[in-house]
Amino acid sequence: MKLLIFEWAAGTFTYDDITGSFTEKGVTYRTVSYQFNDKNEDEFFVNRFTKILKEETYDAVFSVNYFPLVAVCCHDCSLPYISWSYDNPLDVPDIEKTLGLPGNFVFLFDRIQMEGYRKMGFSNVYHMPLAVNCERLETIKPTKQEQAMYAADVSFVGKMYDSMFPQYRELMDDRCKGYIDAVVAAQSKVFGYWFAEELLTDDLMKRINDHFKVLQPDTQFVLPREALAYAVAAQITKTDRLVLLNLLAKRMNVNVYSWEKCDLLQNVKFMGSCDYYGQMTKVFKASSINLNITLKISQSGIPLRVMDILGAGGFLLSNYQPEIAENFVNGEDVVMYESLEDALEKAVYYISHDDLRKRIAQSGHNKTKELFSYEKQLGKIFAISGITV
Amino acid sequence: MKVIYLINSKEYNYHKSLADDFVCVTGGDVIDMGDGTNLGMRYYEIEKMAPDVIITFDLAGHLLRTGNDSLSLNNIYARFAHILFHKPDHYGRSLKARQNLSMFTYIPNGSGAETARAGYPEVPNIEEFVPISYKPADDKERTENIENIKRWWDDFKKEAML
Repeated sequence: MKLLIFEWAAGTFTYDDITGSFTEKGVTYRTVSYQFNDKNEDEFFVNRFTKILKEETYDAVFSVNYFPLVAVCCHDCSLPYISWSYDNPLDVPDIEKTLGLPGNFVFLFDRIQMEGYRKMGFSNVYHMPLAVNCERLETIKPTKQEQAMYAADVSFVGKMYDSMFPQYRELMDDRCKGYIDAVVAAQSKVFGYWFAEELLTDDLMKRINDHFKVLQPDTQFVLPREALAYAVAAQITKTDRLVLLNLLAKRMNVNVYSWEKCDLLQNVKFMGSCDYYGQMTKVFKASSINLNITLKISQSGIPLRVMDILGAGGFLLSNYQPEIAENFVNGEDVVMYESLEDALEKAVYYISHDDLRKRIAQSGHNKTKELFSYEKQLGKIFAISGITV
Repeated sequence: MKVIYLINSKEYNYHKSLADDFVCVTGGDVIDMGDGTNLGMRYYEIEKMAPDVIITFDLAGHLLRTGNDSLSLNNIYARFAHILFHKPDHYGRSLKARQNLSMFTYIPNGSGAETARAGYPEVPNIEEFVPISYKPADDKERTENIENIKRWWDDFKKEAML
């Protein structure tokens, strides 16, 4: 079998492990990368990519995350297009225009996200949890120096999110401001169920957009519901991350790995960014507790960060996510919290129970290795797509 | 159309004068990767300029790498022309790096484009270019050079759909 892999820009985190799995299976591939300015319209890309598809014979095109113009080119060349996303939301405007193209097989890691598309009539969207290459991660061992450098009671790898929420809110009238503040406040208290988007009704969106017009009559800008929902999710997640990290940092040492330093974090050691393929695994191995705080909009799935932590054999303290609960036993394989107070209590408890923490980390690692290998997940993807490897 | 050149005068002493000739034809700004500026800062500077076209000499822009050792320039939305003044094997592993579909790599005439395409599968668009001397001997050769650069520039714009 020969695949054409489409790779976004300078690369995606899971590319090497996916292609490694292809190679083990004897699947040959060629990779083409591109950076889009507009994911829905790019004559140059369509022209060049179609030329490549016609140059050689491929059985299918594969990509990490979904790209509408790749789908269009594949459709025009009658080739199956398989995409497997680790992003949620997918960040593709007008996705419904291409998602249903015959030949598309779209795999999403979040079941509720998948069900949303199914309800819209896209029967070619499937649920597929992410994977991790445990064997590779097992070979990565921090040296004594690295162990000392990365050691911490709690480590968190991730961004603080720059939400557009304050800017959008500023442009709303008082009634909408009050309403949206109440939505944020209510959603902030609930873990494991994302209802904020349902509360962003058509009437509300109309009122918000009408007010934008009043403030600036010549504006062409229309705020879509999805953009406001994402802004709300990013805002709540940012607040959760800041509050929890600051609370933890009062009681234990906390390292944060991120591209940008956040001045609102206090007593937290800012470690800069860490690269995905080397440092990150060492961080997870050297830290007593590895924290996962999922972006609120991701309602059920197991995020890539959770796979990375468990695959590395790190101890995971995560917010409650339904699919983590379905696949792992809380308190035996992983530890989940249901509120920020609960997270703090659990961190304090587990930091003083070394043996228990190590047992949980080992058990979580074993289960991850058994359930979520690339070989398994890609095997299911190809089987669903009707492609014989 | 905003054009920028990436050169490395520390590595190749002919880059500056050659860039002057190219700029005569295409317009644009020249950034010297060999001037000691921090490469991370350099990348953000290039990104901020939002160029339509990036022209590099002898893969000067390949110095910019991501944490995973991919080409940072792959993250920039632009059309690229990587002009090589030596045969492909001169560049060692730099030509092994995966290039974005919007990158066109030009090798000197007679360098064997077919062989290069087979030998460097991660380089999507390899073309040969009209003879451009990187060290013109006199004014006459320089004038010829500029004419050839004009022809190359027209071909590139057509190929890159600009």
